[in-house]
Amino acid sequence: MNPNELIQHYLHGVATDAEVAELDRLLASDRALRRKLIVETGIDAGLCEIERERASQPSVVVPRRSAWFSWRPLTAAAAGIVFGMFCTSVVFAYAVPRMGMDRHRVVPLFNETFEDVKAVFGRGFPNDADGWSGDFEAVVSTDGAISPKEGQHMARLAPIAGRKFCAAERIVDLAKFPLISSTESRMVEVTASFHGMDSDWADRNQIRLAAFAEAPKDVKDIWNSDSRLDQVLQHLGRTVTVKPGEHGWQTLKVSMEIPTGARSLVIHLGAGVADDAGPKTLHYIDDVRAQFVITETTP
Amino acid sequence: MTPSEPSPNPPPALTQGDFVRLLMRNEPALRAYSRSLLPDWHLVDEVIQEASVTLWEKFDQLRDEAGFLPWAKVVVRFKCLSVIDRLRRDRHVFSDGVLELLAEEAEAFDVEERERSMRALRSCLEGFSPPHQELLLAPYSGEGRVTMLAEQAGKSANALYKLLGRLREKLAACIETRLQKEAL
Repeated sequence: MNPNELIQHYLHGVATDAEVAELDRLLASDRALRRKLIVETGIDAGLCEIERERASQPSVVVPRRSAWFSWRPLTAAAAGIVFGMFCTSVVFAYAVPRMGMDRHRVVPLFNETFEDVKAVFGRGFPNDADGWSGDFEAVVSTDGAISPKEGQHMARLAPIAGRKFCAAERIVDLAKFPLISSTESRMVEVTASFHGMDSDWADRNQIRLAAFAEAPKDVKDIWNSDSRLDQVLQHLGRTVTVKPGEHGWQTLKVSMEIPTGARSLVIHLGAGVADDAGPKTLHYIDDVRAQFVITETTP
Repeated sequence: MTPSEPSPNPPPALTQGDFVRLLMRNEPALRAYSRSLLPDWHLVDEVIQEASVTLWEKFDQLRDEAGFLPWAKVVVRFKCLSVIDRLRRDRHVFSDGVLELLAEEAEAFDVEERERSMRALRSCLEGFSPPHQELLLAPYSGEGRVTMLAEQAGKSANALYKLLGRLREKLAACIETRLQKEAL
């Protein structure tokens, strides 16, 4: 792969560890290549800026019944500049008068398309925040007739003995995403795509979300204990059954309010053959996205 | 006048409104700077978010408007390195030495140069057909946008990503040519 291709892979987030290492080696000794990378990231930033300009309508503003005339607090306005501006969203009006409106802004948490073929996943429930853990077997490009939902790769899950479903889980440390003021609340939205392997059997796919007051490293013990339901602050799940013969990528989306006092958020993805008598087959997940939708309420 | 004597006409203190205006004006440059050090836009958002809060908290330390961008870049740089340290546990990232070199290179990319590049980018982008413009902007217009365009066009996402790569090469070449002409 030539240096330009390495840069493009890096910019599009699909460079493998080996490619990043190779690019690092080249950049260390080649000033022209460093300049090239800076120019390319500049184009990336420029296109992002142009797209944001085009998205000029504040579609995230939702009028409410009350008609208070107020100024947005400056601190929140300053933060509003930067929250949820992943090109898709708009730059908020800054310290402008507004009439009784709730403002919603989006804070992306992650967008996982499993492009790192050498990624190392934990086994079982995660011990701490940020990394994926569970029944991961491999990151693959294609498996038979199954191709990734997004990008070049997808994750393959294999159920462990004695378990009906295979699982992929991660914990989000909510302390890293503090709210700006007491007038804010937030929802988490998680979207994931699932694909079964055996189309002769019905599949069951699931997203579960759970919020805990405890720190991420303390959640595993709770999750594995009988008191889980006593300690969880909020939990929500969505399970969808895919009929035999209807297989393909199935995308689920779940939203849950994050309660006050929550410190950790568990995102659990589960997939398996619905019928207890069915085979324990491989399943695939891809294009897993999570974001906060933060609402600022005007008194 | 000795250095310890106060200036007869000290610059007026910067206001909250100045902060918002300066952040808005310089935010694209800060995002571009962050992007040169970080591997994806989500991390850029995270860094800019955290850096903005820090800048806001320490804004009273800033003496004049001209110092805003260099000061903000220092804050952003530290935030980037902090994020990269965290990433290092899970994935391969650039070495400290290369990050240092990239930061130096990116800092040398001044506001005027960035504005020239931005003008060239806008001009070059207009030279593409509307569908190609849409594709070039698709990665920034929402998750899954490229895939959606592929579905609409009846093509695979991979095929569209390859086309996108070729369009990006053309765009970069166009910008370079324009900047070279401008420099003559």
